[in-house]
Amino acid sequence: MKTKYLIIAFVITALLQAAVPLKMIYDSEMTEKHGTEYRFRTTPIDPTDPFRGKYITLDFEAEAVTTQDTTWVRNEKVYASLGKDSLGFATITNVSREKPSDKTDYVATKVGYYYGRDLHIDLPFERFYMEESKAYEAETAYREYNLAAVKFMPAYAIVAVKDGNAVLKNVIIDGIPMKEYVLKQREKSK
Amino acid sequence: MGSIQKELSELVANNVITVTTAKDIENYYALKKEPQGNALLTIFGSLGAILVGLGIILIFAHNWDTFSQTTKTLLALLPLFVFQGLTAYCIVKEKSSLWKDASGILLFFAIGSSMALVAQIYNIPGDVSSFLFSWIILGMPLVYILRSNTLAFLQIIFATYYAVEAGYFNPERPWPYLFFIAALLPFYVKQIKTTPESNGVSIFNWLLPLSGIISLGAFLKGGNEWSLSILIYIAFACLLYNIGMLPYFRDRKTRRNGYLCLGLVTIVTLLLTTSFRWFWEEIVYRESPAPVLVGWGVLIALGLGIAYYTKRGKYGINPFQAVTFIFPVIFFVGMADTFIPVILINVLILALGVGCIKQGINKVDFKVLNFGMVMISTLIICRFFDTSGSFVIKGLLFVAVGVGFFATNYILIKKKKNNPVNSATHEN
Repeated sequence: MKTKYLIIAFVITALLQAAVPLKMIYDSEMTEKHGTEYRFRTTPIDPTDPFRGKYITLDFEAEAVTTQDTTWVRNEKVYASLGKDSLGFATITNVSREKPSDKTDYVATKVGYYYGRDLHIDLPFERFYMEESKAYEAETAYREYNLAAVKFMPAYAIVAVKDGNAVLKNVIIDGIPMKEYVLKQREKSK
Repeated sequence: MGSIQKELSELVANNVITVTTAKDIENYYALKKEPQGNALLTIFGSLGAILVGLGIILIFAHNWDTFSQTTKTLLALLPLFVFQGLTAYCIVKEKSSLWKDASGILLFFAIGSSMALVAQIYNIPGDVSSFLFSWIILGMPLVYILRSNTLAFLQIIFATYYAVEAGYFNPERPWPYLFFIAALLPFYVKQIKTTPESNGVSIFNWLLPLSGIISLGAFLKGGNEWSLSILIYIAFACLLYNIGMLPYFRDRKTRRNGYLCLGLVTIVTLLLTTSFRWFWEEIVYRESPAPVLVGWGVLIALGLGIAYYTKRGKYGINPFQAVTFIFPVIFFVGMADTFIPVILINVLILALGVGCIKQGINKVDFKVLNFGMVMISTLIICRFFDTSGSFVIKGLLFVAVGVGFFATNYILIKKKKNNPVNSATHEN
């Protein structure tokens, strides 16, 4: 009798435990497969997470909009509408507290800080996880590339966006994915 | 076991106890010893499971970028499903607590590793504290379903980790920590009631106050300076000490009473900190945020309530419990003057130390005696640094304390020799 209740309780717990990663997978898959792609100009740096491993933090050029509204509070939930500039890179066209009602793509995110009429937001895809040996090399490779490149092509992140959800698909440096760029640099230095 | 048999045969030989009594005693210890091996196995089983769980997380954290996304996703879910299956099997087959502990721990870490790997695959952001939050919530029911002490300990440790991450390294106050601890309390109370003498309860008795001491600081911010934090920390330490003085804890061995020990050490450390004049000179009294003041009020009220409750019992109130209301009075005196509180605090520490020494000698208890001696010598060492007295006087004071250490311990050894029965009755 008692075991029966325990089993029921456990089944509910187990379903919840499985539901969280499955929901994460489903949302990300849907966004990745059916979302619109945006390219965000970025600068990478490399930190570590105790559970999820090494990643490079991306510092985006497009993360601020000018606004007269001064009432923004840190960590406040906001929606950033996206657009593209003349070169095809992503820009933030508007930040609001309500979901955009028109068809424009947007990402759900948080307010970073407000300073001198510029509202800075924390874009919700600033972590790009990499294999542990490559994350640090990626950072140094980018720094060197940034200094030495003759024909500079900006590094950018490819982000799929759908219904406010955003999935960071890849980071491109000198026209190729970050991972391949790191491998290429390794080949060169041999 | 061997030593007991030796003692018993000696007692029988000298006609102190009868042969039947000796047999009864032997049987009693034989029965009592039985679960020992099992307990050891549980400890190593749990430790093994914790290491395996952490190992899985580390292996995943490597980020195997040669695998395809689909393979990685399946790998992420695999440990979760495997250990859920194992745990379900243990519940259905009503396996021993050893099995339940081990499978529960593996499942607990699998929850974390699956979320971590999925986040890694899809570059899902979020700081460590929000990650820990989901993890603790999803693991909490397992404590009750599997009735596992080890899982409860892991939950306390992770809740503390959460409070530190969310509170010290982020601007928020880690309120969910209180919820996590509250969610574990029914389990703890049940363990106290069913197995009061178990090692599990002892570990709880240490882990909970320690977690509280570490996490409290994470709540103390927002425009207030650290002098107010000391006021609140002393209130909290007094509350811990008062809990340790509850008859249930007091009647048990000191090493089982983490509330008393941690409370005592925290109280004395903080009192010594406030015995310096600069502490009172640097206090800036600003308006404090309401939640902090309310929290302080609650701590003081609880501490005093328990002190009053224990006073009604057979013990009466002791000087360390009295710090609960003495310190706030001194603190408020300190708002007007910087000299009086320094004197009062020094007198207070001296009185507490002398009280300990007196009690230690009366009850022939070396622990209490030497705790008092350590308090007084630390007080003198502190004054050595901030008082501009003559070196001769300071030197004589040190000699006096050193001689005091020898003398009091010598008196106690002599007293113990003269009256061996009396000395066996104390633990505290």
